[in-house]
Amino acid sequence: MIACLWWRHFAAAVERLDDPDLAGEALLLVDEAMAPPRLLAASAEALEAGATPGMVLTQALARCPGGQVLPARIERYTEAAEGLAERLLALSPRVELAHAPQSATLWADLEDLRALADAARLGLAAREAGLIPAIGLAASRYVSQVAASLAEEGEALCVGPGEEAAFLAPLLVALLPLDEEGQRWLRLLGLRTLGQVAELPPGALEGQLGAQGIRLRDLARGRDPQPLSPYRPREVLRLARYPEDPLRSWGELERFLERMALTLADRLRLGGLACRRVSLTLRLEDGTERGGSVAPREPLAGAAGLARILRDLARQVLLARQAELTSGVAGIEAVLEGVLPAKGRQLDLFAHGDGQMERLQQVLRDLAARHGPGCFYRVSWLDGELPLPERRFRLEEPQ
Amino acid sequence: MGSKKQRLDQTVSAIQARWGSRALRKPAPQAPDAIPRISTCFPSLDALTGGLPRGGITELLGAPTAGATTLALKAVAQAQAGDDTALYLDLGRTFDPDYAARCGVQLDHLLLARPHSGLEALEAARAVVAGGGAGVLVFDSVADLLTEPAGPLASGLRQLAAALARSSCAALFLTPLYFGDVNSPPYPPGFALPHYATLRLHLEKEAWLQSRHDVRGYKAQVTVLKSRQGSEGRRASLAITFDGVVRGNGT
Repeated sequence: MIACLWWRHFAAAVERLDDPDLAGEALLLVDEAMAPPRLLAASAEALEAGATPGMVLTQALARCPGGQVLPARIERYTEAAEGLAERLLALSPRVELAHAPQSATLWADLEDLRALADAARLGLAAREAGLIPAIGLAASRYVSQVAASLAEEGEALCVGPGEEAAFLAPLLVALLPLDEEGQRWLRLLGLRTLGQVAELPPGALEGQLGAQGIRLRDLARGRDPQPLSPYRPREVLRLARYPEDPLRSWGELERFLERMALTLADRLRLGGLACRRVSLTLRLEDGTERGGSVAPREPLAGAAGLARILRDLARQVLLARQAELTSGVAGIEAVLEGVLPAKGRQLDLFAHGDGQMERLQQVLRDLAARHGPGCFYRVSWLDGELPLPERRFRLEEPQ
Repeated sequence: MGSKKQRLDQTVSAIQARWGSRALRKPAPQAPDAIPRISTCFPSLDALTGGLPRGGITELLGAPTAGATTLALKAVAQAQAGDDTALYLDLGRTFDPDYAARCGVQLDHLLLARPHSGLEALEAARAVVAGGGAGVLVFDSVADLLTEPAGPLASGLRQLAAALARSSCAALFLTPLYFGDVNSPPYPPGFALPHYATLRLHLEKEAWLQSRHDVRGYKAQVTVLKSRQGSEGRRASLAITFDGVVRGNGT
């Protein structure tokens, strides 16, 4: 059995978890980096008033005039979703996480027959984290997700083995994982419910939608062969050191950082690993803490590179321009994030044509780790190859 | 003459014996077409420049609507026809997929980048070029760098030029001339694009092309500002027509 835990208004729930005074308020969570600012997520109250994610803020405020506007904290939402996934990993061997600011979904594979008891335990674990999900329980990933979407917050809906097709039959085709154009196309064919899609002869959808058609028909019949994509917690290497006497000169601190870099590089080398981000926190004699982090251009594993980054970070956070530090350093913590297997790469001196796309994907993964999402897109047509005077398109972030 | 040549050879041999064979070398004769190039779709321009050089920067300067973007997109389409992937750095967020497709660009072989800053754009370009991830990249446009700090931009451009020199990627920089003056392009301070560019082309709109009373395209004049083909100051006339697809003369 698979349990699906679903948070309809995840970002708003996280904001309320952090600030309980926001309970009951219509929350508009805005991406201020966009021009004009757009709504990234909203609470149930704001959605009821007509504000929807993707809307320009002025439009959202026109629909929900009493809404409280807050800047969206994407990193905090990611951290909360990952925290939940890690809690569930203690209860289930395989967990999958999918989250966007508006909603979050977690699937957990419950391998034995004590599924209901396990689902209850999962729900409790999520409750303990302060975020109450709706839970769906079924034999397949898709049916459990549909069940969760129909359950109320804090409730569980269970679909027994063999009852999937009957459970799905009266539900609307809007529950199928299809974009707006696909949904419109199904409606044009007069297909309103999942039962109608399930009853179509085998080749009917395939002829129109190819492999996706076969998958949609299977889903509508309650069959979902797609296994869970296991969530892997972020790998972090942490090293904290407290010198016997506080370090009061830049030279001392530099030598200390170099030794720490050697230790970290050794650990990376033993595991055949590299890291994508380096963070440094300095605890000063006056009781304050200063820290910073940097994502190198390429995954890093060598001691020299680590030492250089740690030195630069220390200079940056201490604003060190002279030999003597204004306050001694009593403790140093270095954290390597985004740890991944260090793979050698054969560069093609005459790179041309073949394999460019694969190389581009590899570079994109590094760039996304450094600059975050929202930079790179692929263009796809919404109207196929129709020779319309103005064709509509969509920008999608590459996987 | 003979003795002079002998003395020169002896000196070169002595320096090479003392400091190694790479210390002093005679330049190897290089054929003018040794640099691989991408056709522009405009034969008159190709005849003048040999095409847009791979492994280097081409700067396209012109007032908006002079045809710089069209020329860049036609070159992208040509590169893609040779199985290249394209990177379009859309700093101004003005990329029009419909127009690009009409220019022949294959959108499934194009990656659109909308970086948060110009510096990030240069860095992304360098990473993609160094990783061999693209055969052509378009930087649209230089004017969007004006608000950025100058020092890091200059260094970013230098690093990009160095990465390009070791790759087979052609970089096209679009520089809009809002006041039409080619002598005062909108560069951030210290941004030595003319220095790093292998080829610099200035585009000017000449006339509309009309069929009866309908506009069916326009004529643009390209002046070569810098070229290693020795064609500085020479001009070519381009005809760009629209009839569902955007055509250059000769395509």
